[in-house]
Amino acid sequence: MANKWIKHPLENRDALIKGWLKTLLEKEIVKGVVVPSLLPSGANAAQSLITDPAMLENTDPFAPVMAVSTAKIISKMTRLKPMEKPVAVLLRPCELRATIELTKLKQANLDNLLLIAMDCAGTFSVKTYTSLVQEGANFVEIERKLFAGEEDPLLRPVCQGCEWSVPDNCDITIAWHGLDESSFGLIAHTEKGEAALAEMEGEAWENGEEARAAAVEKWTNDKIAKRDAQFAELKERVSGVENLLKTYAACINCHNCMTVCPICFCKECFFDSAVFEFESDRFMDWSSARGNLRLPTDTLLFHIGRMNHMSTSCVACGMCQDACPNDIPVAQIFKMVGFNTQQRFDYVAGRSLDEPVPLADFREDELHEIGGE
Amino acid sequence: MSGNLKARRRVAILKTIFDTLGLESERVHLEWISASEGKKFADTVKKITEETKQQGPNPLAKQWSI
Repeated sequence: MANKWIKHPLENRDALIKGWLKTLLEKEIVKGVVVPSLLPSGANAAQSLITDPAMLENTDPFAPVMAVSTAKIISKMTRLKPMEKPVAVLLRPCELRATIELTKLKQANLDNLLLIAMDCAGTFSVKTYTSLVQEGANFVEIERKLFAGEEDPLLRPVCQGCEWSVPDNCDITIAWHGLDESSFGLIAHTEKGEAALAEMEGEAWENGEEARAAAVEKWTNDKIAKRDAQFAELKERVSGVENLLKTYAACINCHNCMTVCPICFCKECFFDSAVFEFESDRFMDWSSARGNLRLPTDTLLFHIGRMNHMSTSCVACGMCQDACPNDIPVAQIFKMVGFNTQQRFDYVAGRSLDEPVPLADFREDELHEIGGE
Repeated sequence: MSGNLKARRRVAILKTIFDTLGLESERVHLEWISASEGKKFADTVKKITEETKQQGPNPLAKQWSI
């Protein structure tokens, strides 16, 4: 198994990574690079596919914002036809985990992709990121504080309780955990990763594996405690008929949460299908049964239906909550529900390409408490 | 033949969602009954009817704003 560990001063991180990606393109080790570019507004960054090495100047690989989940982008680019030539993709852990889910769901193809994933301390919503840029925020400093364990109420709420700071299943990790806060590391996990990392000089990261494991364990345990506290608070706030109706009262049925979800890949959502088109009599009947009927109908059914369809593959990326115009904590609820549904099958979304998604798998000897037989 | 096993997974997911959200998962039933098991069908329906009577009306059914 390939394994290369190097480190560099943190202050050179942006320039080094950009220079390295540029070399990969120039030497045609990869034919394209998917990396966040700065948009003309100057205060926004979005994933882009770069083929001209000169365009790497304008990128911001570590911009702490996810306008669109890169998993969705990979799916868009590889679903009809896998990449013919190698392309490097820079991702955050939740994007990588969603990519793994989409690959298992046959909505993405990893052939010829060089997956470069970073340790992540969380991201800001597009809105918050824009205003932080305008205020002249120092993002490396913010990141340093976050990795040191400081809390930041401006982070997206799911990020604040995210225990998945470290990417798995990638060719190369851009590492933070396990080093002093003035350095960053690069780890190649695969042959492909090692070949790409051969283009980067660097000081050997001695005993990296051990130091990193300890740092990751501490970070993860702290975040699990935070997550569990979030779950407890959330459950109190949203569970039960009254609370659920209060929670989803602000829903305007825009279905943004479904549209931006990397896992919701159906071309036509069940809830937008003819199944939910009714004749006038039905509306009158429903209203008569209660004297009143909220319109459009089936608000709560949509949210619970979505949980039923895809919570077992939810990676808690939080895109849904960013897209909610009325700040319903959809991602936090999804994460809590998904945690429980996944646990039921000993499954973790995005953990491994080898374990089938729960809805595509079944066993005779399981779930006897549910019924049947 | 695996549809019943897949269905059991779906019911398990639904019940887990209900439990997480504080809805009554015991109102969801799953029973496997073959076409030849008339008595089992009748007994099961009786049992579910009795249980439902005891539980009373579903509080969600009265809500107009769901």
